[in-house]
Amino acid sequence: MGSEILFNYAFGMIIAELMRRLLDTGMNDAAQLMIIREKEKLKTLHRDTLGQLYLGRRTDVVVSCDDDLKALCRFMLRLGLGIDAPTESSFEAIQGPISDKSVQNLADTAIQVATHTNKTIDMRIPHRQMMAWPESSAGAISSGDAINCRPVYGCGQSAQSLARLFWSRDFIDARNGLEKRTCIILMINDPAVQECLDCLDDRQKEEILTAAERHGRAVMPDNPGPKQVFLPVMGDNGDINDYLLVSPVLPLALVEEFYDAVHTFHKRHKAKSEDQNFRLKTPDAFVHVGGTKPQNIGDLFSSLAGRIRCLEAKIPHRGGKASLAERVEKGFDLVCLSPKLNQEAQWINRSLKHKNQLKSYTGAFSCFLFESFRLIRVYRAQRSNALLGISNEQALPLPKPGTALSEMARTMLTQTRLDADDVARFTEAMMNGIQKQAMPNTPLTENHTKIMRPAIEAELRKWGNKPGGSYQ
Amino acid sequence: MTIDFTAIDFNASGNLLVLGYPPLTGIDGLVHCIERDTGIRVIGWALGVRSLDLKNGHMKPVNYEHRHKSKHADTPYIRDRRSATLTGNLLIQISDNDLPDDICESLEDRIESLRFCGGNIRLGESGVSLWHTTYDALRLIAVSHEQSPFFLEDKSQLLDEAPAGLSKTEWLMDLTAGPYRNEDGDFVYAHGQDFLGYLIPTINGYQLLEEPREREELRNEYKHAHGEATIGLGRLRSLGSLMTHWNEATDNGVEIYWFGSFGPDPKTWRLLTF
Repeated sequence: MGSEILFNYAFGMIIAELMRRLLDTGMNDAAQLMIIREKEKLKTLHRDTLGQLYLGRRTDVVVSCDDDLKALCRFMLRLGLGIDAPTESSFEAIQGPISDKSVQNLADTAIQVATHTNKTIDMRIPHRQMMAWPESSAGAISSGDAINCRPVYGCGQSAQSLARLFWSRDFIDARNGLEKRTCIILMINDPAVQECLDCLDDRQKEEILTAAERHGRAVMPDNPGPKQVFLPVMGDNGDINDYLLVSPVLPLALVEEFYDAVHTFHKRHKAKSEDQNFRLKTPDAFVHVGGTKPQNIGDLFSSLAGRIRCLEAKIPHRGGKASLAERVEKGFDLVCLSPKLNQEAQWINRSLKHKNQLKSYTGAFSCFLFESFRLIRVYRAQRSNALLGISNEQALPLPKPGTALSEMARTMLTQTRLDADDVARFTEAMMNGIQKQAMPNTPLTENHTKIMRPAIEAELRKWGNKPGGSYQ
Repeated sequence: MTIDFTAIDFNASGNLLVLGYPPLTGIDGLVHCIERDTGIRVIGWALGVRSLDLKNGHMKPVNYEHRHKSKHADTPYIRDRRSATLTGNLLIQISDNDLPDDICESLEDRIESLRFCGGNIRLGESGVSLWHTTYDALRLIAVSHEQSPFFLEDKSQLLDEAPAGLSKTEWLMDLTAGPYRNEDGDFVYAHGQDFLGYLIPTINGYQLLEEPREREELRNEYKHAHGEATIGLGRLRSLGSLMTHWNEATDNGVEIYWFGSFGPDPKTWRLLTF
């Protein structure tokens, strides 16, 4: 008897969903749209017909039920829609006999309805469904924010032999914080549910309670699947004292929403589409599912042609692999450096108009920047390692011993402050080193020294004047 | 602490809805692995992406076996796996308390055995280095690599400021579609909003679909719940933009460090910047 209650409940869920959708269209009297009767020869509604009816693709079908089911429908409407139980006149269009097979088909249809499927694929896990209606939260988008947040029909079990390979499990939950597929389980603790239950006679109430107790525990899977993510739970002192395991599932409502989002996007900005400046990028990336037979993994992916549209998150395109000199020429990366150097680079771009001259000069300038900052980086790293007690043997390489640069490195490592003589001496050493390493065939010109010398001196002075040496 | 690395063939689609930039939840998992392996205490992390190459989808092999010998032959499922390769710098802000002496060396030995969103990790030339301030670390990155990285700043609060008549998903679509030049020559978004930077969608946490409960066959004896990954919004900040707005004295400027925790809502685990 309990299973019949569940079937009845499934039928009630479909009726409730249909009525909710009709109410969303502005029809206050939901019965008005359910006036077209199916031909009498189709007394037993086929499951596919019910699925199409559920998806809104068929409007020439009327759903009828007997009196016993009517009370349950009213019960479900009260819970699912949050409205008072409709009057008797609202059920006029859905009255009539219905066979047991139709009820079973309706129940099967409702069982196939899901809002979430498990992303992890493991064919060894039994097939489940889940219907969850998470609430919208601030600062993020979840399936609770979908416009047409509704359950999806046929996301697996309609092609069960194949779908169970793809969607390892589906789950059914209920909306509004109700946890079980049957809704009855947790609804019982709801005052509104108690109120509705009191309206039923004792026999129906007992059946519902019995069914809730019998079927409630079996809905949620005992095996959560292989995909389990550890989420650390912080204690009061900020330490991690516990973990929570989470199995991610795929929100089908958002899948459907994003698939239609591009069409709605172009529809919303139709007036601007003729503007040449209006070149907005719309997501055009897909994850293909189901191979060449997406119809085998459910009605949703069949309607989406087996494509899940993804939002693209890319970093900006920077014109390929440009060399440092070219990017210095464009002034792209110079903003990373000090404002003074950026200003000088812009001065170079403005003053040197000849192309060859510009190339050689910016090349030299970029080499200067790279080398000087690399050297300073080496010394800073060495000093930071020394401060942290890390051995310098495995640290960044130093210049060859016996040269001016090695002397400079040793001085910068040992001294916390550079004198004016040191600055001048090291500037000369660095310029010679740069000239030898970066530009061995090009002697330094006056323009080179004009820019390089004050920049290096400023950098060294800045280094030496900081409290505690180079490392702050 | 900075880690110069390359992540090879990581899973670029976190919840099959956002593709490209690695899901922040996966990076947080890597950082947490580092935290557990080395014994350091992580305050927050920031990822600078220098290059991101998204590959075409390819069929993912399935662990397929015939369990039931029946007349209905089972067919393996087919799904594209979108992977990408990333080169970048991972900045980890750590506590100075009880810092091991050989932290850099031990982490360099250990890091390549960890996984980055399901992908392999190869250490870069700069390796692992310690810095006292973020500004020094950023300067090291600026002079060490030819391509300057992009860091991500949390802008998820913009999702709650959708104009009237637009849903959250439509608003997200408009923001991530990028700006365009209006008649005045200014960059504006599709609805005329001011320029807010280069915005991308990202996965910034989980939302539980049920109360945590005890189940069988779990990976450990913790509580379990089903959840779905939530989509947030982030702003890409170039290194130049970052260092321009960085205050060297206070070592603070742009909120790029991420940290994940349960919020006031016990059903929401969210990554936020500070």
